[in-house]
Amino acid sequence: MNPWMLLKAWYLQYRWPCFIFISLFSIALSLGVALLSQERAIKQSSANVSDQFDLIIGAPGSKTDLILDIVFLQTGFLETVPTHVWFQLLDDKRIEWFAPIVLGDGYQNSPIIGTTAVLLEALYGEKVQFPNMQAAFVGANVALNAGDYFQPQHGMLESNDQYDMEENTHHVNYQVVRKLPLTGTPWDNAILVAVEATWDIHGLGDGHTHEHEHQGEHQNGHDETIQLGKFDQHSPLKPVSAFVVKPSSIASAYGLRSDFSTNETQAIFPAEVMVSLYSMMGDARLLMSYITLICEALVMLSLLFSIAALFALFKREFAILRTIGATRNYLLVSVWLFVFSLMTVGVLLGMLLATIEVQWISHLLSSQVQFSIEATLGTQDWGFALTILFIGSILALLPALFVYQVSNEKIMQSI
Amino acid sequence: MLTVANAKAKYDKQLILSIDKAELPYGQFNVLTGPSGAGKSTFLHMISGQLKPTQGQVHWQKQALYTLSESARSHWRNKNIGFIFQDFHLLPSLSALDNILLPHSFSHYTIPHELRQQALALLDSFAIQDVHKNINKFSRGERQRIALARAFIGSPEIILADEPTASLDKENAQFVIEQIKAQATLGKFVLTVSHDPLIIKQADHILNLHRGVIQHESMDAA
Repeated sequence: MNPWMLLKAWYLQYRWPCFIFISLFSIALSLGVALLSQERAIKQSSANVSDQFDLIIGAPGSKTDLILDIVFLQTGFLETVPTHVWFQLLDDKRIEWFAPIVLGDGYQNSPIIGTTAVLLEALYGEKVQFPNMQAAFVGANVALNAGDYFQPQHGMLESNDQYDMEENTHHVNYQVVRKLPLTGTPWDNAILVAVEATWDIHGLGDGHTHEHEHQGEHQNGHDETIQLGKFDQHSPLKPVSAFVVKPSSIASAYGLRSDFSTNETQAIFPAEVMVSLYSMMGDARLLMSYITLICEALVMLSLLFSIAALFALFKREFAILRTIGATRNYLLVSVWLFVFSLMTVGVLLGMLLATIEVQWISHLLSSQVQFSIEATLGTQDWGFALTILFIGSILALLPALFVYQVSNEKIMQSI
Repeated sequence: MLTVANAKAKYDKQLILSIDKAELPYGQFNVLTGPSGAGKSTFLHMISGQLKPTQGQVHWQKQALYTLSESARSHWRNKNIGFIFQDFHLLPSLSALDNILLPHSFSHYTIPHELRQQALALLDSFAIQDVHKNINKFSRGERQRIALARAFIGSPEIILADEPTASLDKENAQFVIEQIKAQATLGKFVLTVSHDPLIIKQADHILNLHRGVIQHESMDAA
């Protein structure tokens, strides 16, 4: 028995129905696979972003808000951390390094972050110093270049109203010192300035003790007399939005988290918060997988009924094949192979389409969430596709059995 | 000898065919004739193993056909019968050669070389030039010749034809009749269902069917 000659006849004879079947099937599959792989990629990419921050200490409140503000730079309202926390951190031997984060100002769509050089080295791998209080380092996606001047605005203005702009602009000129390398995180959209500068433009001073202030030597800026980013127990420090902390060991990390989880502060591991968010999303993902699977099955079922209807129209042809010696089993195998081969091509084409869709959606999403989402098809996706094919192979029996059960006697009567 | 004895066939409980006894010899040009609705096609379906009689039996030589299972009858039909239809019933998307070889793909995974050679020889003898051309590109006369080649390939012992000349002009019809008659002269069983006078006048043995009953039988009409 060799059904391929008959299959060749059907492929050619029903070339348009075959084309439509394969197209619909592959599009439905590719969308399902793209959706699931994208969800996985978002999770993975956001985990990669939060991995850069071991421990964050902020004011008590929502952990999620703290992560969104500090890790993903989604500007919201954060209470400030009392200054004595800073002094505690300065003396804590369990800390490898820590950096303050001051949020609140922005320029166009980029948040301005007041911090110290140590954070630049940790996040961007750039061993640099702020040369003066007006110096700014900009992320790779910020629309400013080295040498550019800009004036910060209070908050992130959403209106283009001239009055609002004037009212909320600080009349200080920052100058871009350098553009930072691309990291694929929301920090590519950030402008980093010395923490002292953010305090200073809000009239809080610069956080340093000035010996010459009383002698009238406080002239054009403080830069000559202070070392930016260097503070001690005597520094007149000001409140900050949060601290990013790099503990020296895992034990230290847990110790710090415990010690700074008080009435005045909260200490969180971003990765831990993300995991709890993911576990919540995990149930939704499972549900989404089932819904996708059911949708695929429904698409398959409707397509199979179309094929069955097509074969019903051509039952005379089956009668002729039976007359010239084709057995019921031969027709059963042929019809099943015909539908299954279309599904196999649909799956392969669907996975190819999914690869393209995944790249495209990743690109689209990356520009929306401002961090790099890199989705690729993995074994889970191929597993999903094979599950669809397996279900399809069973459903393909429907038109095959439809042809099998019709007796030649009945067909002869009707033609 | 084909023997049909005491056979009745029904469609939806309606009696279509009632044959007390019919014996048709091998090596002759047998023709079954009668008006429309007389049961001619039903007779063909019954003797080819596609319609089991509600009573009675069909014997081919010594083989009682309906003692075989449905699957075995399909295999038997594939091996022993060559069919010719009024509307040819060739698959429109296949070439002339593939159409001829198709019934043999039911029983072979690879078509034997001898069968392929025989197909090419038959097409050549029927003046079919481009054997790889799509069947739709052949004229009606050519298509019926291709259908003849499909019926004759593999040298089946039985040739059954259902109105083989109904859609052909006189010249092509005569060619078809000659080819079918030639199969009879080879000692095969040949039965043609027709009410074409051109066929009837060349028949060796005529059965006249009326309302499912054989009314008249005549020998050596030619």
